[in-house]
Amino acid sequence: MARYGMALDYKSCINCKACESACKEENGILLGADSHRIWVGVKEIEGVFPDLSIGSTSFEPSQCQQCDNAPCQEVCPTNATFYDDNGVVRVNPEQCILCTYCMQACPYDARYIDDRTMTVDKCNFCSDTRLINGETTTACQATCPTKVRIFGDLDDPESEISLVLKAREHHTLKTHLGTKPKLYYLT
Amino acid sequence: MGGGIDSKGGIIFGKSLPLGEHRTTSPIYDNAQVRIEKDKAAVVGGNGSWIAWRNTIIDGTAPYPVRAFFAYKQNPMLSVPNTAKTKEMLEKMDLVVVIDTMPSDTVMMADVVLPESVYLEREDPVKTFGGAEPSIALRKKVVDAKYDTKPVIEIMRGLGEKLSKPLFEISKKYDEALQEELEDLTEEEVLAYYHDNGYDLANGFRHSQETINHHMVASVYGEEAWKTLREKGVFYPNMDKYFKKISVNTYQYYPEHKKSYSMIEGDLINEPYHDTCVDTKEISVLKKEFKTATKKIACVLSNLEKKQGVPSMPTWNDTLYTPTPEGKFKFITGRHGQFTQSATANNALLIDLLSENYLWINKRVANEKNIALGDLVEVESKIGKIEIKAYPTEKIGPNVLFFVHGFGAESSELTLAHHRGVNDNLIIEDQYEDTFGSAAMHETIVNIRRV
Repeated sequence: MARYGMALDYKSCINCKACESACKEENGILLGADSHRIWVGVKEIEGVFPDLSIGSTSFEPSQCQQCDNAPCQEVCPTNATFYDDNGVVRVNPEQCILCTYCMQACPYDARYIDDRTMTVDKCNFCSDTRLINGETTTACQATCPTKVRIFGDLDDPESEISLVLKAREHHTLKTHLGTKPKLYYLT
Repeated sequence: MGGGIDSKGGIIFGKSLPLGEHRTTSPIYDNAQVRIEKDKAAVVGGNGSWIAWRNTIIDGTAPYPVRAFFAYKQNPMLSVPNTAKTKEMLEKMDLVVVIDTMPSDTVMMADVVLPESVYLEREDPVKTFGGAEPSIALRKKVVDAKYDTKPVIEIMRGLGEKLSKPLFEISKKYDEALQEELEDLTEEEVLAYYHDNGYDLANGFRHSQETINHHMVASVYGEEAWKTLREKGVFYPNMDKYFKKISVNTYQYYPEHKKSYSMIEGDLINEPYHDTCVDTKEISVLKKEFKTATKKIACVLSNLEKKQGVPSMPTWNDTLYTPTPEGKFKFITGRHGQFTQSATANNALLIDLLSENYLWINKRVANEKNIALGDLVEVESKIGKIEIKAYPTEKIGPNVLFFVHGFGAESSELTLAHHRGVNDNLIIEDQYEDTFGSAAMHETIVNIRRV
């Protein structure tokens, strides 16, 4: 049993999209699907040529924030959304009735409808594709060329993620909502 | 000059791990001719000048007939400026043979296609990577070829076996130096001469890639190294001691003090008033002798000036500059992070990231012309006309247009890439600079019109 989280050294992101490709390949996400499971947020540059704000085009890798206090889980009428033994917020497609309450409740817009199963799906830290087979990393983490992602057990004080969160400043997204995300953005 | 040579974060020469030798002899033909485009630029090297070469054939000004075209893994129909001219050149050839893994536009122009196995279906030549952390890497075959394809070494062997004897007969007929050599030889001696002097073109491809790789590694580093390389895909001396997994994110390949920064030893002194001229460790960099007349880094190469009349330290030349006329645009091209070349155009995962190329146009200019994101725009240069969707952005200047290279395949066999996006070389003019004859791809002036 663990409590899995991920730290994102997001300023190192170069928007190569290797994480998106790896996620799709590993988890069988449909090609052509946009913002399914994980994505890199990109904004159009601010300013007028040639006076451009380079900082305005920073890349923001994002996905399900794996909340400890997940609104999507709270509103699910059939308990299709559940916390597994490792604290990962997951969906049981057998129980999902596509009411889409979870999609309305998620403040991070991290859920989507899988057109094949007609259920709502989301990132599950590769629990059913990698962790179950004894892998210790997610597909997005393993493939990232600039080492943006650090995946690990928050309950293990010696894990790399625990050490990095002790040593570096970080923040979570929409902290004020009290969702207690387990994705930490390193600043 | 900036102290960036052979220091961390700079250009590192480091060390390389030599491989064993795989040699073969090439025949020397008495009446071999120089490249047909030899005089089209000051310094035309062994690789030639593609545009000058192609245009010389189209012009019909080549000093001798060129009747056959062999291509390996190249796709000039999409990769070289002025696709229409490339097509014309290929149509002039009596024989076009193309070796490729993909049915590219150039493959579709071929009389003979020799399909090559993709990288997972073949063993590739072992490769050594120099640098601060040198290593040798090997890409093995992991699955049997799915279709009737061959690794290129087998294709070359087959071609060599088929062509060598007839070519030798032709040489015997026309090559006077060869005739002299063979004059008093018996039939057996002639055959030995044929084998020993490279006329058997299959010689260099006789062994399997695996046998060659084994020889190149084991002859230098021993059988144990070869075993490690085959098992791990990578080998370098002391790998068993040096390689460590530090965390889920990081690996150590060499410990810091074993990395090959060849000239600087110890740590650089990092303090603001540090005088680099008196640090002995840094002076060792300056003492490094280079293979130049002055033994220092040379910027002016007098030979280039003397022999070829080319200024080795170029200065601005106004006559080479084409200003962009009012109301027109300069078209520039470039690569995309994921779509680096036309060879990957049919890859579903990459298409997922970028489904087609868009025309970058300055946002304010687009507004004036009433062009919005996704609107179809006609771009016309002196050599061609295309239609492409617009992407108005402030990332580009007002009189410049851009779209990424690698799209617009015509080959219907490329089921995903077929007619996806636009080929930049339909509009890029075939200009080349006159020193090396390299393509000057950013000289095209275009007009645009909203369709």
